[in-house]
Amino acid sequence: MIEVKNLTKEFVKYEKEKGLKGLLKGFFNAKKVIKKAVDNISFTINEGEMVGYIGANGAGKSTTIKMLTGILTPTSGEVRIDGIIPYQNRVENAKRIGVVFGQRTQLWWDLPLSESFLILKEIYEMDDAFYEEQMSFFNRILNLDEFIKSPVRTLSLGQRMRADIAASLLHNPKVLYLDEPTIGLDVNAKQRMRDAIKMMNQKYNTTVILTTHDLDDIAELCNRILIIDNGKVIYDGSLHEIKEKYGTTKRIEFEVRDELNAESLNLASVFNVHPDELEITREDKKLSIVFPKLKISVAQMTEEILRRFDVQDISIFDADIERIVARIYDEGKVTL
Amino acid sequence: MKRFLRKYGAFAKGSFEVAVMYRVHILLWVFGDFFSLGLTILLWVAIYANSPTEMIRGFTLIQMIFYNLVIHLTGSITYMSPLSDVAEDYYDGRISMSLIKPASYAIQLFFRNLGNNLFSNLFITLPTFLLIATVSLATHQTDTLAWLSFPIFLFSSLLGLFINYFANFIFSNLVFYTDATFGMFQLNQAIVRIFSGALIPLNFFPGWLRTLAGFLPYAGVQYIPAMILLGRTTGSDLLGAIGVQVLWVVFLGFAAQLVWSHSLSRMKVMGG
Repeated sequence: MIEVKNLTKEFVKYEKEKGLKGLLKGFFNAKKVIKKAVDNISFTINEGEMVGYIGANGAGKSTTIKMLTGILTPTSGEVRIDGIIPYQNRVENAKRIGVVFGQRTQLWWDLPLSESFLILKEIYEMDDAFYEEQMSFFNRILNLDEFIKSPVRTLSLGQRMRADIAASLLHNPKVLYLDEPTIGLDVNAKQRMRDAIKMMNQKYNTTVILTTHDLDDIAELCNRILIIDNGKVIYDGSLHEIKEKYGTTKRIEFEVRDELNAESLNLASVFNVHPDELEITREDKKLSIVFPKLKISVAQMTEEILRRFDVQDISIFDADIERIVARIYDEGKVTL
Repeated sequence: MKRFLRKYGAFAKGSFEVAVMYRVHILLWVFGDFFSLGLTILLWVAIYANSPTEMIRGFTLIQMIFYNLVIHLTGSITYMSPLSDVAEDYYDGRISMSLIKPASYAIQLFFRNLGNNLFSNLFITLPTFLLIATVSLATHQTDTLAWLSFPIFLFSSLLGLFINYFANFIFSNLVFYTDATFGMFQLNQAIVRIFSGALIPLNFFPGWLRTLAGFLPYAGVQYIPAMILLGRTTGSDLLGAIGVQVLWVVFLGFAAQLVWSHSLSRMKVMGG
C-alpha cells in the first residue's frame, strides 16, 4: 500500500546571527546551512494497518507526512502510495487520501460548517446518496449536528477537530494521515476522535498513519510504531515489544495512615542497588516508588514498606509508555 | 467540462459566500473605490483648468473623464488578485490544505478569485456602468462611447481577466522564492497601475516607456478593452488588439503552468 524507499529531504536554511547587528549582517550576507529533515528512511505499510509515527519535536514526522501526501517533493528517494508517486501525481493521489493537520483546518473559516461539507462534496465528486450516507454516519459518531450551522471560526477547538476529521474522511479515503489530531483536546474530545478513527478503520479497512505526542493515542489505536529521531527511523515494530524491553521498571504507590516525614528510607542500601535506580516521591500520605523489577520483586518491595508503615492502600503499575519513549528520545536509538 | 465546472465551481461559490458574509467590508470597499474615482476625476479637472490647450494628447476633459470611468469599469470586470491569496496561503502555511485537495492549485485559485470577481461585478461594475450611462446621457456625449462595440468590449475584457489572472499568478510565485509577501504586493500594484493604463492613458507615456509597456501584458488587461469601448480602437486595429490579447492569454497560460510546477518542486511549508 505505502512504500517508502531511501526517502531524504533537505532544507536550505539561512542562519542569522543574533541581535540587530547580526540581522543586518544577514540581510546582506546570509549563511547558508543545509539541514536533513528526513534522512534516508524506508518502510512499508500494508492496507488496513494503523501505524503510529512518533518522534520528538523537529524529528521529521511532519516532513515525512508532507512528502507522502504530495505537498513536498523529496530531495531523493521514492514514495509510492498504491503505485502512485504522490509528488508527481498529486491530484490523483489526493483523491484517495484524507489528511488532518491538527494545527490547521481545511474548513472554510468564515462560512457555516455545513457549507464546507457541501464544497467538499463537489471537490471529491461525491454523488448525493453517498454523501448523505457519509454525513449521517459522521453525525452519529461525532455529533456534528450540534454545531453544523455555526461559522467555523466560532467553533471550539474540540468541535473544529471533530469537523476536520469528518471532512478528511467524508470521501472515504484509502489512506488517512493524521498529524497530531488530538493536539490541545480535552479527555472526552480525544476519546471521541479515537473512536471515530477506529470505526472508520473497521468499517472501510482504512490505512491510518498517525503522528502524535499523546502516547495514549498510539496505545489505543496502533499495533505498530515507527520512531523517528533526527530524520532517521530508529525503531519499526510493535508497541508490545518495546514495552517488554524498555519497561523494566515497576511503580508501586502506597497510601499510609500517618503523614510522611522527610527522613530517608534508605531503600537503596536495603536492596543493595544504586540510589539512581530508585525514584521515590512523597506527597502528604502518598509514597510512590519506581524500581527495577528484575532486581527487586514486587513482593520484596511491598513487604519492606508494609513493615515500616501503616499502609492503607497499595496500587501497582507497569512502566508507562511516556517514560519509555522519553528514554528512547534521550538515547537516540533503540536496542532490542 | 460539466464535472470540471461543478468541482471548481465549488471554490468560486465558497469565496463568493465569504464575501457576502461581510457587509460592512463591502460597503467600505465600494465607498473607498468610488471615492478614489471621484478624486482622480477632480485631479484631471484641475489639470485641464490649468492647461493652455483644451486637448491634451488627444483627450478633451470630457473624454478624459470618460476614459477614467471606462478604465474603472474594466478594472472591476477584470478584477483578480491571486497574489494576495498566494501570499497568505504561503505565509502561514495554509497552502498545504489546498495541496491535499484533488484539484490543481492554480485552477482552485482562479475559481476562488472568480467568486470575488463576481462580487466585484455586482457591487462595482454594475454601478459604474449605470454611472457611465447616466453621465453619457446627461452630457449628450453619446458619441464618446462606441456602444455598438459593446459585445466586443465585453469579450476583450474577458480576455483581460485571464491575462490579469495569469500575469498576477506568475508574479505571485516570486513569493515562494523571496519570502517577501508585502513587498511583492506593493511592487505588483505599482507595475499594474502604471502599465495597465489605470493611472493615465498609455499614450501619455514618453516613447521608451511606451515601448516597454508594449512588451508587458498589462495593457491587455484594462487599456485595450477600454480603448475599444471609447471607440479609439476600430477596424483592423481592433482585430489586431484582440489578437494580441489572445496571444498573451495562451503564452501566459503556459508560462503559469511551468512556473508553478517549478515552485511546487521546491515548496516549503511554513509552521510545521
